[in-house]
Amino acid sequence: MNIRRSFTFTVLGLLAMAVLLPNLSAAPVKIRIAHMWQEGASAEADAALAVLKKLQAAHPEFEFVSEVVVGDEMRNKIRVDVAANNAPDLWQFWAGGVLTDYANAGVLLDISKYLAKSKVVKKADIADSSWATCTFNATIRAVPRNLALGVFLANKTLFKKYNLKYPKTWAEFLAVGKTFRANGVIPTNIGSKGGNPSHFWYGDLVCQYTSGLAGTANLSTKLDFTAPGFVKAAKYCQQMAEAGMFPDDPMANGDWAPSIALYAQGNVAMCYTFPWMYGVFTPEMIENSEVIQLPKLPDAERDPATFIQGTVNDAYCINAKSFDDAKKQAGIVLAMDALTYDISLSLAQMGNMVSVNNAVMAKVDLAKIPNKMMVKATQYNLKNKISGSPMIWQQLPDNKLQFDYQSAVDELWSKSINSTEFIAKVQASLNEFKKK
Amino acid sequence: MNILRKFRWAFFVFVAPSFLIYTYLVIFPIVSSMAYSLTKWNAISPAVFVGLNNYEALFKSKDFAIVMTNTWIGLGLALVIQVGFGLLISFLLYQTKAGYRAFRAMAFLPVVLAPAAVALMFVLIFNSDIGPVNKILESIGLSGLKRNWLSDKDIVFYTVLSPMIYQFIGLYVIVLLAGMQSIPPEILESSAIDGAGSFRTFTMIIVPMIWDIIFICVTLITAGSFKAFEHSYLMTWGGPGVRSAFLGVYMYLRTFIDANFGLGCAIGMVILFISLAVTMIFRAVVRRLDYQS
Repeated sequence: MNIRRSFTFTVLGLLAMAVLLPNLSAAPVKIRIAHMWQEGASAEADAALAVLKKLQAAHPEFEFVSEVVVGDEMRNKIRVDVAANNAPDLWQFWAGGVLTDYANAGVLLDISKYLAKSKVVKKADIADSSWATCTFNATIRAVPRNLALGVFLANKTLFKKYNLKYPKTWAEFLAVGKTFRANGVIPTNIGSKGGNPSHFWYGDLVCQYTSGLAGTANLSTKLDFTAPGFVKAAKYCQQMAEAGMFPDDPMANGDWAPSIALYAQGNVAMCYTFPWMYGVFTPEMIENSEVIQLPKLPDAERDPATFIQGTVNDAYCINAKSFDDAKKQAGIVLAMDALTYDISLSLAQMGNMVSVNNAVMAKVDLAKIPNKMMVKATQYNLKNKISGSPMIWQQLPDNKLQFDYQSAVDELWSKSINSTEFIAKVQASLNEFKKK
Repeated sequence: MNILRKFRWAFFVFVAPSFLIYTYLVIFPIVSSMAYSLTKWNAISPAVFVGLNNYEALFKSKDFAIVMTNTWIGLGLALVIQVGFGLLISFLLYQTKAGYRAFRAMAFLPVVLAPAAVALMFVLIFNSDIGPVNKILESIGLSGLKRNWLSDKDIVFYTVLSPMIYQFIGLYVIVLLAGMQSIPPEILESSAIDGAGSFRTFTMIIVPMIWDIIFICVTLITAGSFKAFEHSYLMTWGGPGVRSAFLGVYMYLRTFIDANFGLGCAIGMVILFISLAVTMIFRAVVRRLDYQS
């Protein structure tokens, strides 16, 4: 009897210890951060991760866990995680319509709650226009991260070799393209796979018209893709495709890395890209590239010498449920401060991004930026007072609309459809959304 | 047997783990997909029951018609090439004495490569601006055959199909070769004594005797075609538009890119039922042929 009793007490005692011990020991609170920096993948990634490591060393009471997903796959990860009620505490995402579902479902924190706790991020340090890209029903749901202004480059060697001037008008643009084609040179690197980088180029042409600029700005509310600016720009893109201004195989040379790889080979006369690709430019490519303006369309109402596609591209999100967890809140604020301030400063100083946070940019020493492509583009933009024009994809309020639009751009580029069919296709998708 | 009769409950003890795992991993996902296919769901907000709306939208969609056509053409070509040429190559290997092992390894090598690597290799090969295919055509005086392999809407599907066939034909060669090697040598010796040549031996003895193996290959190819994904997605994202998409790619695009999980589940159900139907039809045909022979 005594043996049985002591056995029972021993088992109960062990069970009690198993339950109580983990709570008695001060286990660090886990903060999950989903980002796109893969260790060793780039200098940018290593710099960002170094900041996170420093944060971890300074705050052992938290365990900052990285969940790395590179590129568009982040959309799938977050959606599936949210569906499984397993969303990370913070994540790197995009600004604009892509956040709509999450904002409407209450997944995202009201950022004013974070701003009230943050030691480094102040609302006034970020322009209202930047906050607007993350605002839904008058509530800010994410912290904008970077400004992305496009850039159009000319290969100096090729222009010199064929004794050509950098084009400023549409006629000059087509004429230099014809000369390059006759000599086996690809006029531009603008391929189209998943709409990259083609849909930005199309957006740039659209914004040369006042109706296009207004149509883009109001796209999310009016859902109208038939404004003259959209139609005319599509016709000029079709003209470019027919004139051989794009790579012959826009699908094979589309998307960001392949389009730059084509330019890097030296047989492309003009390159259209964005700052997130500056890291792959070699010193020789930078030296051999001249920043030029986009060609002005014959009936343009706005001069492309003063603007280019550019707005807030990325944003950081906070899981509302996690922030309400008292144990996690301080850790989330620390991690968010590191993401939005320390990492932004580190990457901006490297020349890998332009932060939307004016306080961050005020600390950046332009003379010490090692990424000379960023320096070159920034100097050109400052000198020519280049402003950013709104992006169509960001104004589309739904994932399906964004995909349909970018997919239709692929078809336009590959001559599978003409400009009229392109407009009809995108409008049909908008009409379907309207009906819902 | 007596013990099993005595302890009938033991049967359930042994079967239960497999039954539970199979139910959890196979039956439950199928049933829940079927349920979700009747909803409008973006994976974030609650699912809303919409009846058969997703199926109606699917069968009215022009893109779905293109994707279905692609899938059927892909299946047809995969069957003809992978089984037809697979049989031929395996028969040649079967008759090869010198270098047999090397040839067999060469045939199987693409199967062990990662589909992503093969897809990217073919993107470079078919790149009409910098790839070798157009350059070779030009250098041998066939400039008229040069194409924009990955952007021309009329041929991009076949360009995407080619690495799939290249990569997996080796698997069927090896499976069919194993089938041929299982035929008793006496039968082949008898046919040789009776004066049967290679062609007659192949058509009248080998093919009928490995009919079951051929059916397995047909089933694998059918299932593979309906869920084909990697090559198409990595090479073209199924584009331009959906010109080079298979059902698997279309399901992914609608589910994850459009965030329309209800429609994605409906496509999944269509894939399941078509695969089952096609497999059952092939099975019936094979049984009939088997019976007749």
